Amino acid sequence: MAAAAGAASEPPMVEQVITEFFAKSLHIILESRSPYDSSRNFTRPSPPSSPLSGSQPRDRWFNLALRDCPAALENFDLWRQSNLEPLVIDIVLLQRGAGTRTASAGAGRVVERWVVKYEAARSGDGGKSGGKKSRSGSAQDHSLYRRAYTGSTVLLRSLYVLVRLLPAYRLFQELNSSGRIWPLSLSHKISSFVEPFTRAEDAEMKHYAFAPIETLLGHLSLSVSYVPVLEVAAAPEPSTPVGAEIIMDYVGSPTTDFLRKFNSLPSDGIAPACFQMARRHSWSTEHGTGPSEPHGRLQPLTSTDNSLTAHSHAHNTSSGKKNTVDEECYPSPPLSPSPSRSPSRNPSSPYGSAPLGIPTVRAGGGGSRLPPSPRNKDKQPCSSPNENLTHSPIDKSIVTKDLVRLGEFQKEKPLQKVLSFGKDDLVYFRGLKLTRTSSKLFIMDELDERELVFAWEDKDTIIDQLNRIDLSEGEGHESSQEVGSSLTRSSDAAIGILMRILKNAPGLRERLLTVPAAPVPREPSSLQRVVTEEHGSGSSSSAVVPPDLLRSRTAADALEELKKYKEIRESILSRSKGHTHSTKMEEKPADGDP
Amino acid sequence: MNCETCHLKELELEPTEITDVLRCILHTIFFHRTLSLVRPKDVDCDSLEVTYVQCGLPELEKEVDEKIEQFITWVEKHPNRRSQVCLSFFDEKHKHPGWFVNKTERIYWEQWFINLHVMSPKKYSKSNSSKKLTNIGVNAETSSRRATLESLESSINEVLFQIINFANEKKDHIPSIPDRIFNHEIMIPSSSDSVFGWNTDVIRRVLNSGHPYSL
Repeated sequence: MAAAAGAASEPPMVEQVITEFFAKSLHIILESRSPYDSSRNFTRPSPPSSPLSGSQPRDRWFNLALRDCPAALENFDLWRQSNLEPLVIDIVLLQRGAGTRTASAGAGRVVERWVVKYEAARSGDGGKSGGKKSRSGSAQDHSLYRRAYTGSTVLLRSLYVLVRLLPAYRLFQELNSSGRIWPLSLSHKISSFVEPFTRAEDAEMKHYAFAPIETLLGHLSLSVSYVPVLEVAAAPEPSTPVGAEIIMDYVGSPTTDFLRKFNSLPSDGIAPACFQMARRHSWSTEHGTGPSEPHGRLQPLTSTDNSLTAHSHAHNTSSGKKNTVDEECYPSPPLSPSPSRSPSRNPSSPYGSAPLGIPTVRAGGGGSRLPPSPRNKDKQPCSSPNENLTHSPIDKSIVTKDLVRLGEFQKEKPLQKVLSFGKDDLVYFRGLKLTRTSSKLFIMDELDERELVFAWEDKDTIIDQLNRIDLSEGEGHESSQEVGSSLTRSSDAAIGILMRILKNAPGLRERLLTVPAAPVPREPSSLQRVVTEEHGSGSSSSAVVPPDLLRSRTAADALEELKKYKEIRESILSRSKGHTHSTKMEEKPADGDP
Repeated sequence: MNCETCHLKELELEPTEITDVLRCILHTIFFHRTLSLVRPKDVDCDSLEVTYVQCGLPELEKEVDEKIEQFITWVEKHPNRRSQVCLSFFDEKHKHPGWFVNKTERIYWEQWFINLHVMSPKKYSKSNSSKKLTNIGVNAETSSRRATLESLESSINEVLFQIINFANEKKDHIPSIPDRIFNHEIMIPSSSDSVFGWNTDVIRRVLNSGHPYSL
């Protein structure tokens, strides 16, 4: 080591102690301030009962085995060239984000400043005559050396304890162990000169100095200036914007409460013209801008495995109706799976399944794209696992992820809980329920989503319709006439009737299994009747559902089911050496359907 | 050889905090006075937001825990009393065997006195005529408990700084660094002791060792 001029007279042995003292100090400080180097994770293989085993040469210095700290080693290699100049270690608290930095150190706030110094004795104190030989004797030198080494050993242990007592260590622990995203980080800056604090900063800091260690011709000192109270340590909660952004894109946690995302949305009466909403319903941009055609269509969004899911999109183009902002703010109804279906069926999407009134008038193009959104914090927007909903060119990936996440949530959400809401919400939930139930039977993958747009012009009408449906729910199909009479009030209300009928229709698969031949032709007829009623009302200028498409889909499904059934049946019959007569009989209705 | 003594600031604590507090203080002292090779181990207190350092010596940890258990047992029998735990470091000097004289002599070179005032947990008045009052009482108890813990944490920090200061200011009396931990002894009050707890035991040992320090 090239000793500095002031330390030139120190015996090499003492010089080495001084150098190693610097190195060890730097190591101890950075180990507890630099990330990933905590001694909690000390994993060097060695039996705990024998500290000597596995020790490295530098561990032997001051009998203090430390975990490897690359930052300390790198920095000390640089310092080693500096001839025992002071070692100044600034621990800097960095805060991401504009306006949060303090003026100190230019790039953050210095929360600790450690200064390790070797100060040679004054020129008149001796040592000029060439070192230990001229002194009183080697025995005394050896005693001084031993004292210096023992003192350094003790001091380094104290340093090891002290760095864990200061506030920055608590912050360091938080930043390292919480696994959260923090807007803060700790950094360090090594230099050989003390950059003075401002008066305010200096007044804020506390100072602590260890008792100096006497060497042969000088002394070693170690001191620290630290901020006694770290306000960031007192309230180190991560800033909301950072966390929120990440959560929005987060995929895969079924336990995530997705409602939190909506908490910031406006409540009743506030126009929800926000980015989130536009994004969520961005798929409607393909079709939502045409205000001249009130039409309701059932449209399949996608089908995952065997469960057909669909969404209905309320699209009200009738100008000047009661399209209020409230309606836009309503939550997308959660879906209620048909009780007759298996619980594994995927719930429908909030984006696709909401028969909500989304006025195009207010939005002026952009507003029509606004999605249904929760009105209140505690309302449950419906969800869908359907990734194919995202037709929007805008932020497609985000929407997709959201959908996936919402869908996961929905799988775990008890239906009863989802439906337990206020009156308005319940209306929409029921509307969705109907849609969901119907769509599961008849929706085709190939259908254009534009055909699924509903025209719900009047919320009160819808509520009335759905209330009626609800009252008559237990009565079966005979109540459909009563409900149908209310269609005269609104052409769009026919959708409600249609939905109800579809809802009450038994599942395709069930019917095929129980009564293979009968139900298939019955379903199209029911559909046809509803559609006819709607056209008869005269207030609607568009067909609700293309019967042909629905029918073809029904027939196709029926045929497919029948084929499967046939195969099963044939295999059973072949075993019993039966004939194929029965299977041919069952095949007939399917052939005739399309 | 001088025997340096350090009397640490008295800590007021509840019985449930004895283990944390004594572990923290004793291990910190041992860490400062175990000058053989150690691998430091950081430990967070269970009930306090305090991190202390152990030497990473299982035998020492076991010994400390055993002594703490004995102390807790003593505290249970002597509630609401001030007490001392003394950690002593000594050298052993072999003496020529003779009549009525031990073969080895203990020469104490440092003693740390940990002063504790173990108090029974604060009990809040159970007016309990209504749930509301009970809730208020619970909240008050919680906040008061938190304040007590913070006060204790602050006091422990002071004690730790006291240890650091003393350990660095008084070090010339430390014997040569051995290959193992220094000879030491943890003394706790015994049931037969007087108000000062460990004193009887200390007097006995002082008489045995012939060490010329006064109490």
